[in-house]
Amino acid sequence: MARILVVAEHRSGKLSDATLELCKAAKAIASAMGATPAAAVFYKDDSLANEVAKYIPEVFAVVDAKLEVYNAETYTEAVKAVVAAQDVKGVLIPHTYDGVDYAAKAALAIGAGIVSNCNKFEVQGGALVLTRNTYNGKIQEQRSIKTDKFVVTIEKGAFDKEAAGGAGSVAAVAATIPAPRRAFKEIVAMMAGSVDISQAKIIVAGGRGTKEKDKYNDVIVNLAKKLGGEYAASRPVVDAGWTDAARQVGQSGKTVAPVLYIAAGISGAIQHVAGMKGSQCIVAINKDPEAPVFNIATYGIVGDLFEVIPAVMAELG
Amino acid sequence: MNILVCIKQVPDAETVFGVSEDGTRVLIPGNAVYRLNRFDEYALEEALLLKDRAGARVHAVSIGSPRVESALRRAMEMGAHAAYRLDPGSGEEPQTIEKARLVAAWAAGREYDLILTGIMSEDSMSCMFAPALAEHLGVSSATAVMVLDVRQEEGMVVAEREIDSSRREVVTLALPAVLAVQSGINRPRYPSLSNVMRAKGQVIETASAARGTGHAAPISRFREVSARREGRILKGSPGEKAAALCDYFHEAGVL
Repeated sequence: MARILVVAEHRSGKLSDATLELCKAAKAIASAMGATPAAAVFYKDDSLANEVAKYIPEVFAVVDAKLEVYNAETYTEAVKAVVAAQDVKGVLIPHTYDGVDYAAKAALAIGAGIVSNCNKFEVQGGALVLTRNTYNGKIQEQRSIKTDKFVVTIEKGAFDKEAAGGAGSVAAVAATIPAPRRAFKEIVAMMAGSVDISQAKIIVAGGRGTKEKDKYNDVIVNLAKKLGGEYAASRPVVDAGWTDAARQVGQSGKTVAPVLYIAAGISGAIQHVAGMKGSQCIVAINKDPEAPVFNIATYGIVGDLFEVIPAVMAELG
Repeated sequence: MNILVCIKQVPDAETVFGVSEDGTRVLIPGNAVYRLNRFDEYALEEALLLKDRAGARVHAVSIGSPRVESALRRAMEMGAHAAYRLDPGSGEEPQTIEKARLVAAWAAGREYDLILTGIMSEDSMSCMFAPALAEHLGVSSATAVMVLDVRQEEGMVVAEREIDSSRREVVTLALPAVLAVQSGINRPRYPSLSNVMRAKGQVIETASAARGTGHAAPISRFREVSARREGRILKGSPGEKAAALCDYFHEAGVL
């Protein structure tokens, strides 16, 4: 039977949470399409393949010293080898830094169509239909797969993690992995920074709508101080150098879940929302009434943050 | 060193988008403002830094109707030497992977040492363009690049790419290579007056990137996300909204 194949993701021999989410996704998609779920694990030995077999019934292991560390080129070759050796209908890859680094290469290498950044699926008339966010999260797209084979990248958090407990089979797949033109050198840690915003009960976060550093300090930092909370930011604010990376909330920053999260001048793109959607109360202030941040806000204020925040400050006394 | 920067023009993020009645098309109002994709500005700046430091030649390319020429013009105003528009002909806008194939077909043989682009576009958000372009060209690629160091005499580029929120990996790539740069790698410049004046006299070259016959039938259905709101929108003057918000804070015991 055709397979829905998860490509396991790992760094330093440690499986990512996204891999476990994809095991869950593969089971659901396979069941809806009359296929079977499976996983491919690329590593220097079969230890990780045995680990993945706890989560999914069938595992294909490509073992090669060149696969110790993730590499876009060796992964593309390994996907090609598994698809050539087995009956694979669909390939699921996490929509993560490493996943998007090779997913399109793999799709082209196996002659598959690709839909990226998906968060939901359904099967309509036998065809897989995937839901993804576009236009900065304002428009949802449902794209149906028309190709015989497909590659899908799946947003982190779209599916729950599969629990361990199974005892799947592990089969080796032979592959010749050529020496890549891209070579891994080392992993470097970024400075952690001195502040830990993840423990704060109240967070006031500013985005691009705060316009400039002085204004960000004026409204965001001051409101945070007034509320006895921490100030934070979306990535564009950190990119522009208005505040430290340690205060960045989102996929490439911190994940926070305070009692109160005030998002001012933040549009609410998925990259930011991923880091704060667990907050108990979310207040969104944005002058764009269509900003996706209002879709997750407990309270929304459509308006100019430079008018609204001073009014809130005055109200607080 | 010859650098190609692939750029995209996108509607401003604050545009109010609609969806056609049959759901097959996203409607962009006629008065929408189009800009250079924010993520591509970083790619352009990185190329211009290499121009400033090492005298690289910088070309910009974009696929689309004549409308995209304002984004290419902006690239020249920032300092690109030349700009090219690939015309895909009429019909549906090509999808990301198809665009990568069209750019690859055009760029092959033009001897670029380095091809840069942004990590994603603000509208389609697919993150697929750079790896697809590299696969079509048969060269190496890396995405989410935060540091790049071109060592042309060694025929390689050293790149640091983000792998999660606290770590980067250092990789080397044989030239030519395709790199998708991450936002925040630099601070994109504003066009200088002299570059703006110079760009006025420059011509944007157009090349056909026709896709052959039989465009695929639409395979997407769209809908507006704002239809699914659950929260409460506070009304009134800024003062009234602020007062209502503070009332809620007190009721909920948040403060």
